[in-house]
Amino acid sequence: MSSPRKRSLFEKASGPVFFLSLPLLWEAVSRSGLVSKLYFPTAADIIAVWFSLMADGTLPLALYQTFSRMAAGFFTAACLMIPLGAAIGLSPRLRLLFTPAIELLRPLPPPAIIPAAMLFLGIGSSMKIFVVFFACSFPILINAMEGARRVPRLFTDTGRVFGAGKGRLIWRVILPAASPRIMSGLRVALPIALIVAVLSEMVGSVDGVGHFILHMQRVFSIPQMYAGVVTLGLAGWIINALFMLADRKLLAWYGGWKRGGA
Amino acid sequence: MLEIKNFSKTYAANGACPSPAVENVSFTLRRGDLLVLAGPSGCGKSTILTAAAGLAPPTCGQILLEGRPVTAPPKEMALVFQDYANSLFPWRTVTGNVLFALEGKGLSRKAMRDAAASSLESVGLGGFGDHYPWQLSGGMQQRAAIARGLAYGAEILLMDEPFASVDAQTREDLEDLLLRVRERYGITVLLVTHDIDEAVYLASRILVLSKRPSTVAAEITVDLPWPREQVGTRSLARFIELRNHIHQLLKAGAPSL
Ligand SMILES: Nc1ncnc2c1ncn2[C@@H]1O[C@H](COP(=O)(O)OP(=O)(O)OP(=O)(O)O)[C@@H](O)[C@H]1O
Ligand SMILES: [Mg+2]
Repeated sequence: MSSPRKRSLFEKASGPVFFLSLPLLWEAVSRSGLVSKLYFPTAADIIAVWFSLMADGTLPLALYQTFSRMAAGFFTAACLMIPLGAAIGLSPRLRLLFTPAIELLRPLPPPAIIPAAMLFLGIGSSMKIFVVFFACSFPILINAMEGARRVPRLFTDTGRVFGAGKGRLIWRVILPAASPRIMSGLRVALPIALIVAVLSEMVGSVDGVGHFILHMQRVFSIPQMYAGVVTLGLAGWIINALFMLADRKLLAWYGGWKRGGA
Repeated sequence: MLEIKNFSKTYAANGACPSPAVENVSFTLRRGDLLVLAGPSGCGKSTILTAAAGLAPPTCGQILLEGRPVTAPPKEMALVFQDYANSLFPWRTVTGNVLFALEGKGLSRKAMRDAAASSLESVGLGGFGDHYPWQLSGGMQQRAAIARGLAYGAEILLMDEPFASVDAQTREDLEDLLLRVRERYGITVLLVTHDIDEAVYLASRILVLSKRPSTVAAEITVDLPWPREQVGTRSLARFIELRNHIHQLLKAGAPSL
């Protein structure tokens, strides 16, 4: 196995240093009196509020609501759009059929469909899941399409020579060969899922972190509002880290192959 | 058992007027044959082999396996690609690549593992099963591709310059391995090579192709005794005679500079 490049001390330290210095900087700005304390409470206040909101279950519940919608939309998009994209990528006829629709819908900013989605689905979870699904679909679909289309002929020929029928060809040859591209589609879709989930909660909702943040701002509970923002930042960071972990494990071969050997 | 009848192939040329790459080649691969295709580079050897494997239909002519036209890769045939490095799946280990050839056969997991291991052992890659193909040298990748071709257990083995990038010693070992495997399992081999010595050493028959558009320039039955043996066979007067004969034929067919 190729070993990852040794990271220098500077690289290793830069993350935590930045992470720790941010609250300190915040604290300094807040205490300096440059901006109103009311809008810019001290970091200590925000952290204290954050802990109590975590302890009383308010934030965990909101986070659970947001996250479950995000996950539902994201996974539905992945389950439908990876096979559909692969099918379109492999079939010139399907490509002709779908390309106009894809090109037409793709530039549409996903938030633009929220009002329409509210008309049909109300302001419950299904509306949010649908909007997340819609927003994630395009990067996943387009990357799966390109990935499947660009699988080298020699890979599929090899599969066929060694007796692979359609099913084995798709599962054991085309999907693995396209997996780097498929994963990059998922990587693009992941932050979009979180953004759109939160946004949809701000527009029409009674729960979730998005709603919590907006609501706290409206009732002037500013430290609480920031505590919500911090929660989202942390959640986004953790989700991304987990994804990168899976990505590195699944695509370990890809890096080595592209570098042309160990 | 495999018949190539009036095979012609014309590749679509972008812009230019398409000219045929292979024109009217016919030959028959009989059971137990070790037929070698020899010819100058670019004369269409790979074209004939990929068509015979059912991967690309001929422009004209027919490919018949036991009398039935070949339209898709038949399970009786395995192919070792000329571009061996890019025909190994980079997401699978060397063992995984060999296992791919065994997956459609309904064997138990254990039987598959054993077959893959012994196949890798026979090409001298016993200790490298857990490596990825891209972690191996070119010659080792080539041997992995050969191991996969052998593991498939096909009756007909098509090999496109299978020993091109290994050192002389390994090459002799692999040539003898091929002869042994053929002997033991009675497989039929159609092999492409650039190397005249190798052609004469391995073949029961040699088909010499002319330069593009290629046709069959000569068909030579190699009447050297079996079993072949590296030093002994190569020093026979008949060996040298055949070698020189083919050399002359290829020289005549080669593009004059
Ligand atoms: N996909 C293709 N498109 C267009 N022309 C092709 C294609 N593949 C091969 N050719 C042409 O067909 C001819 C025969 O090619 P082929 O690869 O069969 O030769 P070869 O005898 O295997 O050569 P080598 O010994 O160098 O491997 C060549 O002149 C080549 O330019
Ligand atoms: Mg060739």
